[in-house]
Amino acid sequence: MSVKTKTPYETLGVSPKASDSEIKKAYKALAKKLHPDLNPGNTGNEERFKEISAAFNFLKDKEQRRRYDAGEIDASGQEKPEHAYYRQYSSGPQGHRYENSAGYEDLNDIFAQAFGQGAGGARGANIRMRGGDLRFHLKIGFRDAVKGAKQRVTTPDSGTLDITIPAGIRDGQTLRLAGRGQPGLNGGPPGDALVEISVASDSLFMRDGNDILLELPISIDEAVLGGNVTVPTFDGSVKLKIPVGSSSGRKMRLKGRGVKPAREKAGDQIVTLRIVLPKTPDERLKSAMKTLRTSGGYDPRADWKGNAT
Amino acid sequence: MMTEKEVLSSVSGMSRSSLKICISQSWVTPAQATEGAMFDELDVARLRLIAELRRDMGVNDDAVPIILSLIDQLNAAQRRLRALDRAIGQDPDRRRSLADWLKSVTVQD
Repeated sequence: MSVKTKTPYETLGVSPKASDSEIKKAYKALAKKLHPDLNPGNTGNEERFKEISAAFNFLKDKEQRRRYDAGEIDASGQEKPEHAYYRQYSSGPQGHRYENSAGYEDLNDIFAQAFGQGAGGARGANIRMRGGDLRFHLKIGFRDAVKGAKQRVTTPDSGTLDITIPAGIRDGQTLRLAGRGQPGLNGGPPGDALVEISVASDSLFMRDGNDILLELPISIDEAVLGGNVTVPTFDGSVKLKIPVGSSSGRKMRLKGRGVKPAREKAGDQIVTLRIVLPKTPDERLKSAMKTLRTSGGYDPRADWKGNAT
Repeated sequence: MMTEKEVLSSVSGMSRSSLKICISQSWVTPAQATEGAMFDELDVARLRLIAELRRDMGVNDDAVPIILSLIDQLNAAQRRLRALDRAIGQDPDRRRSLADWLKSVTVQD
């Protein structure tokens, strides 16, 4: 059974003979009523809004409308791609940034106590108002994130803001500098400065929580016979003892040499060994390996699961 | 995070001069970085809403902040109601007794 679909004219409630400006007027009137962000509690309107937007976008193209009227094309496939409405973000955890709680003064003490929400940056009313928050975005180096640092940013009013980056800060974390936002009105407290930190990656080190990861190239003789290798850490270099008979991929843990945040357990530096051959193996290496092979070699796949198949 | 340039190419109906107005009027408050303003998803969705208000609904620049302010207040109110709802919890007995109590103390305006 086929349901007769509405024509774009019916969707907008205009006659097929309507002028462009009549169509626009009808669309505007419906959009004002149905826009999802103006009706955040009413999900039914969203579908209707999509329909009228699609119909309007279809008809506002003069050539498209002419061909539709002439029966050359139908009105299908003209729906706009899914578009994210403001309310989808404003209802998320970051959403309260723009929110305004004017009018809840009588309940704000309860809400602030119960749910940890401040009085909010009410604008426009003649009451004591907390100043707005100022947001900053700061890109810092990998080392600064591990060890902590002091940074200075310029504020919109050309002032400066000194930021102490705590050791162990993570990519995407936000620092709150209380009282460094916009001044309050009518004796209200100032807002906060919110500094979102992004951490640059490093060419040598990687990070996993509070652990620092490092890949260490070793020679084949160091792998077989063991040895002492100097390894860089963020607290200076340390000697690492390679155990006799170490394969590529073996992980060595340097206790307490990772990230050391003030109030968390210090992480470790985890060194992954990687056997590296010279770019062109010289004669001595080749003859040593030939001797190994002719004397029977060894089977690295003795316990390998791949043998079972 | 998006730069000003990326915002202009992804929000249809937002011109450079419109974006300037949005920032100077504090309709959106992007983060400040050494490279210039940086916009997160919330900022971009808000800019898209502003663009639709001005272009599709004929809202003029005097009315934009009024509408934004009302939407912001509505969102705050809804968030508080949701928080309250979560705090009350799903226990049907508690919900019913709370409803009864509210009915008994509500003064009809």
